[in-house]
Amino acid sequence: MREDIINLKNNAIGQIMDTDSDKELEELRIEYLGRNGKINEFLIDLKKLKPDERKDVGILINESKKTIESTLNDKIENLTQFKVDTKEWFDLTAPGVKSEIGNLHAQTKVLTEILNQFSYLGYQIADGPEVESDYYNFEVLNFPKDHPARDAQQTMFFDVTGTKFKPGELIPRTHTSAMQGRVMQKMKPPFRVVVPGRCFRYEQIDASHGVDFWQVEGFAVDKNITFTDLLGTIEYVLKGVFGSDAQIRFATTFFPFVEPGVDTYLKCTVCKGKGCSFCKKSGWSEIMPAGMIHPNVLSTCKIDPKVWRGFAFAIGLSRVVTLKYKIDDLRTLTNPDLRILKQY
Amino acid sequence: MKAPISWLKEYVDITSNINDLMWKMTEIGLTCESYDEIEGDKILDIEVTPNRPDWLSITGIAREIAIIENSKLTLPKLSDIPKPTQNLPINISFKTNLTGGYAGITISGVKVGDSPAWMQKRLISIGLRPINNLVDITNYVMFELGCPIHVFDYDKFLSTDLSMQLSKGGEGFVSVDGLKYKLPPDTLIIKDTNRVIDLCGIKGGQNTGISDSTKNVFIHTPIYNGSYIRKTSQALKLKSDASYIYERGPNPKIIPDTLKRVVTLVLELAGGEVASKPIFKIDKFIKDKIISFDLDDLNKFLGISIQKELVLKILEHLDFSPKITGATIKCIVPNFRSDVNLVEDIYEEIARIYSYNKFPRTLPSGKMASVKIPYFYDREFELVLKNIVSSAGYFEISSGALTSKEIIEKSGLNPENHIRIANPVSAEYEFMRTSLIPTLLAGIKVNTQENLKIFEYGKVYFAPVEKATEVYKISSALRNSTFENIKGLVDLVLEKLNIANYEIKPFAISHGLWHPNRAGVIEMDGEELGIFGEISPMVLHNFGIKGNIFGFELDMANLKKFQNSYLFKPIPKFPPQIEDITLIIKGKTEVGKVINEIKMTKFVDDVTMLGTYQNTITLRINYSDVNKTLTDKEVAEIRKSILGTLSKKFGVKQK
Repeated sequence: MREDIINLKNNAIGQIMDTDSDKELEELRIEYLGRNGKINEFLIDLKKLKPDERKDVGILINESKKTIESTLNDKIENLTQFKVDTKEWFDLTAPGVKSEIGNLHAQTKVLTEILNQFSYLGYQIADGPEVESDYYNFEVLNFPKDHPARDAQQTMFFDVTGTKFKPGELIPRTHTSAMQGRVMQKMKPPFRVVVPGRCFRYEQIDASHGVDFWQVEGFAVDKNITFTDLLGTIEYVLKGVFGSDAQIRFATTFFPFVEPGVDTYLKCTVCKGKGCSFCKKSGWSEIMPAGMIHPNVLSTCKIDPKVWRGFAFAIGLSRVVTLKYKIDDLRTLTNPDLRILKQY
Repeated sequence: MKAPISWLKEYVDITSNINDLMWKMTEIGLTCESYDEIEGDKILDIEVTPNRPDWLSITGIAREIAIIENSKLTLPKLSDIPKPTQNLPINISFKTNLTGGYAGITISGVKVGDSPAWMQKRLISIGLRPINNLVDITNYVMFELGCPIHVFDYDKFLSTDLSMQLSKGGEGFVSVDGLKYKLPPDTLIIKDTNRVIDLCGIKGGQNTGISDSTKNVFIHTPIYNGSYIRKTSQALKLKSDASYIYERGPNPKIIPDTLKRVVTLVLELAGGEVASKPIFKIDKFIKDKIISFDLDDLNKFLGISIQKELVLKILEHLDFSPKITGATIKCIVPNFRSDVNLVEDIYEEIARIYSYNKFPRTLPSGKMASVKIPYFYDREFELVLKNIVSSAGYFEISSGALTSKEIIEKSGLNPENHIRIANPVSAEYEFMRTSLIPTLLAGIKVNTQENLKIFEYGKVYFAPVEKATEVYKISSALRNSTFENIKGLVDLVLEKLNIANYEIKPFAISHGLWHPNRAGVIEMDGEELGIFGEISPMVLHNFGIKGNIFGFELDMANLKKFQNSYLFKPIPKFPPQIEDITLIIKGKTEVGKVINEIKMTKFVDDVTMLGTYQNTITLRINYSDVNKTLTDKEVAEIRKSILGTLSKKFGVKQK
């Protein structure tokens, strides 16, 4: 009989725990604790026992009854207290409250993407003066004085009144290539260098020109660098920035500080090559002039061109930003209107 | 450079469709991205790089197209110049050696009139205005062959003895189109008697120009030193098609053919008779350039092996007359290729005709530098700064580095400290900025948001120009806020960089941009980390900004110098004792210093300000010991010691 009582108790607790239904709990109460319930049946059977056994079994029955009762009551209490009204109306679409965070400028974000590509290839970042000498900006780079090659880079000059410099000797740099000579004169190859920075040109300001703009110059010098390495590096960087389906093609061009000279065209990412205002209807965007470093430049920097070879290239950062964000006016990049800044 | 397809077809067969042709031209260096259509003819718009004066002519472009189209170039047929049948003598003396070659001839009895329609059409299609048959012929032949020509009215010469010389400076000159110039010194000119009749290489003189009544002419085809022509052209701000060609260095060997072609056309289209023997001053000893290279070196340079036969075929096609001996190829550079001087130039020739787009694309295999490069820049640190400020709710702006005197003065700054551009595009872009705050204020002005928060990171530049200092700053501005907010941002930036124990000081000398009292300097070990506080109300008034603006301008280099990395500290095993104290503060007590003093006390872990009320402040102090839980008695002693120090140093008492 003891065993029966314990089994009964365990069964009852098991059933109570298993249900979440008020109705079933009420049925269980009647089944176990009701006037004709199973506990009462045991109490009736108690009389059949020998008097010396009655006391102990009686206590066991009472304890079991209490345990079942308290389990049942706890369960009912839990059910009422934590019961969720499944029919309750709740609006999940109501607007949330956003944390107030700011945003980095598109130029910062795109420059990071570009520099990441170079860092994967082992390039180090250099930063140099924007108040530059004609020497580093032009002469080291094989631009003769009074040569029309300089016309491509309309130059501003600093006021040098009262200094030992002649007019034109100190200029706001026209390209980040000015850093080639500075680095090469101070370091022996091999090296891989990338130089992001601001450049200045004498330009009337309009949708595609500014007096200052950003370039990212890159150059590498080593013993066995080849022309195919130059083409491959350009492709690697542009695909890293514009995605692996970016299409590029190369053409011949001239800059005094490279030979051979390369121009890189990217299939317009805005119109996918159909022709639009971003690519002047040509379907291709000129994006990354480059070339093998001219032997005269290496010699001027005291690097023996018979032993070392190098390549160099420049990316118009502002151009990449406008292409990536489909911005049709360069002046947007310097516009501090929050309605623009929030979109970057 | 404009090149009509119909004109090109006179010298070369073109079968490719226009788009293919344009791309193939671009690929080999004759950048051509667009064309115009005029009366059924397509006029290519070609960007000629300054290394290729030979491409400044239709025949030069046709020569290149012949390679693309795999066809032959047919140059215009030249007839010999007839013997003179009249006698109009001319003599020219050269008082400088700035000519690379010279040819001239007189022709008598010409009839000035319109040039034929076909010639006019071609000239119009390349953007020239037909004038008369003689001038049109010179323009036509210049664009056909690439050598400038000028024609003078012989009868207007005051003497038949001409002299080419350099100007002394100050001479007057009136060009054929009637514009007056005062010549700078060292200008290349031609004089008859004492008159300047030609501004060499740029414009002819009105005094000897062709008119309807011109009968006898002197025609010359000179080659001048390009850098002299360029200097004069820049000094006078005067350019012409001829000066453009001269600056780039046309081929002197083309002079005799040019003269032949001009004379033939003049006799044919304007009549007349040759009236002098041609004058020729040509250096016959200009040597052919010979460049030899090794096939193996070519392949190592390019990174692929191009077949020997193909290399020879390309060079043959380019008129480089290649001769191979073993693995060495010897080239004779054609005289129209002034740009080819080194083996690398030959390598480019081979690569571009082979096609850059047929090359495989590889990555360098060499070693990377194991040391930091010179001019190394820590962009990671830049991003750390920008991320702290932007995550505090600030939007990054980007602005130009050039500013105006007006903005500088409005900002309470001194133009004298600014580097000045001598030839600014406009007064708006005349000076290099010395602060990022003015452009932030401009940013505040364009936005309407009440609690606007913006920042910029970038360089500022300080005079003197010969020793310019360029430093990176990170600057912020926020509108209609409180001092506590900007101070909180400063504290946040410095806390994130783990810079502690910095000092805040009032300005030693007032700073026009900032409020004299409500702004100050942040210092660390005597060096300036930056400035922060309220912008001067006068400056805001100048910018037309209402309300308060707070901001900071921090110095990147010093922040980087004083930053510390955080090292892990274990979580304390024993709970801290926390208590709040309210202090009575006397009039001008610097609360920051009071808090720092408490922070420096042993067992004090942290101090925060809970609030201020009238002349009191309430601080929450965390006491802790790594070895045990502090007892109330121990805390009482520490507090007593703190209050003792505060009373002595600041006269501050507990409420």
